[in-house]
Amino acid sequence: MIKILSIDDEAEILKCFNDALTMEGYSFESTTDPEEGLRLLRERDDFDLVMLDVKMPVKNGFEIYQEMRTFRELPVLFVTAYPNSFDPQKDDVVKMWEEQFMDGTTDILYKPFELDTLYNKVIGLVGPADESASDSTSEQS
Amino acid sequence: MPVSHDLELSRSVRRIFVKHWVDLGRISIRCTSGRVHLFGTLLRVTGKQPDLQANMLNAMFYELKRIKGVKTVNARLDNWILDSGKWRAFERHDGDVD
Repeated sequence: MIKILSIDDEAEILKCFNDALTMEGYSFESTTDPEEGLRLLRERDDFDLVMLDVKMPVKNGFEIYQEMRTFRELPVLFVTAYPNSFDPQKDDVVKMWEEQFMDGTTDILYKPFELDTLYNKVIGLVGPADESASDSTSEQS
Repeated sequence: MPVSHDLELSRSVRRIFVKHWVDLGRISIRCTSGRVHLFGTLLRVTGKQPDLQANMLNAMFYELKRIKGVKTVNARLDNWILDSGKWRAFERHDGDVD
């Protein structure tokens, strides 16, 4: 079963992700604490996808991403309400975009979002929860 | 065709979009059995200049079609339309029909 970890400081959106993704057949875990999220990623190797809120207090999604990449390379779906989060005028964003995003394992989900968009992003990064789900949804696109 | 192949295609498509600084958050990519489906809005990330031009789309779609294993590339975009073989900026309105 495909397992997803989401790190987001908003409990409400984590519930939304949980409901939507488990309904589709994904296994979903979450935390509002970035350090706890990093600990889970260090100690376990059963996550297939990480969803990272970009703007969080204490440690933002980019910082978590950089730290995670020192010990694990997993597909990442950044979640943000701010399209200017990926500001090409910022050196750190340019470096991340041109060096790390170039491997094609990163995507972006803007809030608010439609469930179809969430599913498409997740399927594009890790595939459908099961292959039959892929067959049943392919005609909808 | 196995799901892993479609995942690899999706990854290759994202690589091309990243190379062109396309805002990944505004476009959805679905790859099924070698067919690439794109829908949403094709823009560069906020603040990246210059904006996308028709010749850039031509180059990008040429690259997409050259990805190994790609059979077709279908795009239903909110802001670009392929008109007589040329990309044209376009604003989709409610009620428009393909």
